[in-house]
Amino acid sequence: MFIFDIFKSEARRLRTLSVVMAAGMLALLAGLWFVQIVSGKRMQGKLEVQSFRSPQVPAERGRILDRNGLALVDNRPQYNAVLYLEELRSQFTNEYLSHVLKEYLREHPGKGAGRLPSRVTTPLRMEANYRVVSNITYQVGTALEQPVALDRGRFQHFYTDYTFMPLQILTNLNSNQVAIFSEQLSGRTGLDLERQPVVSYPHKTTAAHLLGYVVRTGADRKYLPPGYKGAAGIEAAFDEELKGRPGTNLVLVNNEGYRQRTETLVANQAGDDVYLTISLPLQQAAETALFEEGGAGVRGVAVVMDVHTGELLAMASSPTFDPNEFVSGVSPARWQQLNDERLQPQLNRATYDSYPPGSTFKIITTLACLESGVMDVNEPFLVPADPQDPAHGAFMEQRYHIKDTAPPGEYKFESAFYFSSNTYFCHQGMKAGLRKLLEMARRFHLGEKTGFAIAREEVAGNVPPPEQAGKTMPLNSAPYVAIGQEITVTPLQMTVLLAAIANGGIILRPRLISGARSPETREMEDLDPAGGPRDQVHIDPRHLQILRNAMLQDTEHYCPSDGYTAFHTSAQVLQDAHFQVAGKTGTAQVNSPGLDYRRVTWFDSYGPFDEPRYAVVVMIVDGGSGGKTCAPVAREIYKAIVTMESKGALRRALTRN
Amino acid sequence: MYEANLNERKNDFDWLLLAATVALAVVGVFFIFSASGAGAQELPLYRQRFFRQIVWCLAGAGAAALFCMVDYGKVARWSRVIYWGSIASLVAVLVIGVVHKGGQRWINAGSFDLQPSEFAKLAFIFLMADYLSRPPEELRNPRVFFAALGYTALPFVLIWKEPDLGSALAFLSICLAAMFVAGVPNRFLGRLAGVVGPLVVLAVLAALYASPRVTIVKSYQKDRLRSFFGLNEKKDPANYNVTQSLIAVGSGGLFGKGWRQGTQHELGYLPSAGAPNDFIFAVIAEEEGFAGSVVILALYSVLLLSGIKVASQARDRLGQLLAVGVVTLLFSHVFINIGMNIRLMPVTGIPLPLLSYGGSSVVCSLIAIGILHNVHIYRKSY
Repeated sequence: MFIFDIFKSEARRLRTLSVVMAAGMLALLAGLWFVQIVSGKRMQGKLEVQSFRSPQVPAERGRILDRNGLALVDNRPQYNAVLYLEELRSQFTNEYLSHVLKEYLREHPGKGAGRLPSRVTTPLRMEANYRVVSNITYQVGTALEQPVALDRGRFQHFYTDYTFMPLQILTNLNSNQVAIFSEQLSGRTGLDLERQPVVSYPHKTTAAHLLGYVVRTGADRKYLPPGYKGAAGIEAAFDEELKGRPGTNLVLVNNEGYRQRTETLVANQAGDDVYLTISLPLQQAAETALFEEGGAGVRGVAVVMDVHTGELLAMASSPTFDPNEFVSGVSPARWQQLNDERLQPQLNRATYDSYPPGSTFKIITTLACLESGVMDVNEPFLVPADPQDPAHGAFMEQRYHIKDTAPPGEYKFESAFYFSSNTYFCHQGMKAGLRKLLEMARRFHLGEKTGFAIAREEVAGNVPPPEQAGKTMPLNSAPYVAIGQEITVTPLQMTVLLAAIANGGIILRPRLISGARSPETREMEDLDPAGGPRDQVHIDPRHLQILRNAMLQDTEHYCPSDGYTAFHTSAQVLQDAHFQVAGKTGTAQVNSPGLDYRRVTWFDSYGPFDEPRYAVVVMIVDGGSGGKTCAPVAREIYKAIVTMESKGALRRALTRN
Repeated sequence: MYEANLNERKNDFDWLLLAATVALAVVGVFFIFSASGAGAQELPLYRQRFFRQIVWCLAGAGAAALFCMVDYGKVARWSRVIYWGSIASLVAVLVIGVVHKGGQRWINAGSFDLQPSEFAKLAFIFLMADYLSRPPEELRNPRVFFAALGYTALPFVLIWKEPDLGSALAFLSICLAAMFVAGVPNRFLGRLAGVVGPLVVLAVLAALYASPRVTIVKSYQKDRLRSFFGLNEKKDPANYNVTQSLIAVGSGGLFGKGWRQGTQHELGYLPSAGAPNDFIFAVIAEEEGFAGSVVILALYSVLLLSGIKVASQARDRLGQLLAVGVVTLLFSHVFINIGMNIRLMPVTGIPLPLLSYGGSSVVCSLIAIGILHNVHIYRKSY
């Protein structure tokens, strides 16, 4: 009985013990459930924060190429000498133990060699790290003959926050330095050569206004590789295609912040290459011709367009700039120069500013008068002499007094056209009326944006719609408008007009972008599907022919103001090729106090006359006259075209093959 | 005849107990391999931790098997000798011991370090079982009760001095469990609780808030206690370790990241010295998730239940108390270690039986299980 009682009581005590242990195990289970299931996400977050870094990997920017695949914007490799700190850990410890700590103990004899508090050891360790890296930096600088000092503050900042990244010691090494580095330094622990693509414009100022420029992004994250953002021109307008997609690396960092492993989380993808309709040699020829006529400071444009496709073969604007300057950043002083109020080097004058067309508008006046039936081309018209200037004529009907550059005398349409008689066209334009003039101008879409690919850099100009005749624009403006005053157009609009005259009335949307090719798929994508025909102007073909013939006479019949001289001096190439040019000169006087120029000279043309293929428009601000200043530029461009055609160099753009 | 029958040796095994033991040991070897990291594989095999662990497992298994050959009753006769021998070794540790991780707990024994406190636990279990297996009426004598307390206090203080708070607590647990099951009157145990409880509370409060000049516990212990109670402002390494352990365990989620896929030990957030030892559970929990944790807890539960069963079937009170001592030893280690990994307990350097890397721990754990099995083999036949 007694024994059994004991056993019973012992069994009870064993059960109690079991219950206590079971409770303990359940407490552990509950704790684990709480930590792993309830707080699992939070703990995973903490883990990621402390052990993962995800620096962005910039994507190589797409190139911009001309119609034949010549690179206008390219990526140039930049080489940087970099140091991987995680490989120097043993050197850090060694320096700390054998120098820095000993020095400290020597200076503080009271302190034992036992455990020093971390507030003492942390700066000491930083000092040791700094010494190691500073030494290596010095050695690299000496070897590469470019002494460089490691800034203590910069290093400490870097070491605290970016230990997982390579430290750049020297950037942008030249080829000689790269060679020395590979020979002498590349084997050293932690040292490496980093290749970094840098956007470059190999032809410098060529087509700068079309290409635009990029600026660096992420300057605030100064130890991470830079990205680029298109800031102007095609670089900005097609930034989406060009920029590619940056990748993300996953860097596992250990408890000391050093890089342990790097994995690619998202691979970066290079940007698309953008192909232009521009021909690099022709662009260069156009720019050379423009600069030769007026020097690098000349303010003017030259535009060349294929009259059948609307493809822009060249678009030169002067003064210009070198986009390379922006890649590394421009100084405030340089920025001031690049924004000079008079020269405005960043301004694409072909699209982003508008000018009075002057006498070149007589093309429109002619068509308006012919189509409305008010002008008989064979009817003679007497231009009276200006009483104040008897050598020249003047338009003196009603109360007008509009000076003429042509001499007084009898004119018919054709002679009036190549003499560019203001009096004749004021008279005819007034007969047609302001409404008809504006109507014809708007039918050719003057005063409207052309749909230029760089939409941000295009203005509409100022040609009021015909409904505004007598409203915002007084009806008595007609004689002024007839000779291209009181309205403004862009040179590109005039190019579209000339192409339409040449191709029989088809208004083309200028095409600058031929396509984009992804470096991965190698497939060409049409970025400008809207390019090509935009509108058709129906003009009596006989009227068109009358105009074309008159335009041919502008270069074929001598008169002091027309294009004859330009196209009969050093134009053997054109004559040999029987390449005749039809055109119209123009010189608009400007008396607007807001503008810092007094004259706008033009030569608007197409060629060859028999079988038109190219429209060439040249405009120069403050030039001598259209015939003297602009026509020679156009001639040089046509010469280049003829030479290139003979070599088969002006084939259709790559995508259109 | 009756006596002879009672002492008959039964040549069978407690298969469940053995299976759980082997499973835990194998899991331990695998995760010690994982926790040692890729760099360790360049070392010669005999220096790699997982391999040494295998060797110790085999050595421990051998020792346990040898132990099973002798009736535990015969061993128990030597309990006092064993006990005083272990006390001598604990004193030796304090005199000639090797300092690791801030504690003087090891004695250098050639190619490896011995941790006498582990062996002292076994000796203590034998002593308590032997001393308390006297007739129950003697247990009502306060002298016996106080003597038992004295036998506990001696190693407790010595180990506290090392310092090894966790192991000291294990001694206390074994003492209490053995006295409770042996039948020491509840009023004694109640009084003991009434005295020790407030003392512990006072000690903790003093440790937390006393001026630095009053040294009840070592300063790092004070830091640990303060951080356990969320009072530590400064960056305490132990607190950092537990935070990292929590991140490891928690980020394991439900199913973990897979064997050798854990990053906490690879990247050094879990200290490389501690990952295979005190924080082996964090490695397992990170790599195998809550599912893995449950499996580990289940294996330990099998071990503990088997132990209780062995205790209940023991031939005599000596065997029963031996089994209770072993079970309490295992339980206190599991609870303190895993509890520390998830901040349920303050940081104390105490290994997880069979899983943690360490020769002394593995060998002693296996011998402890050998004791259990010995009691099982010589159990009563009815």
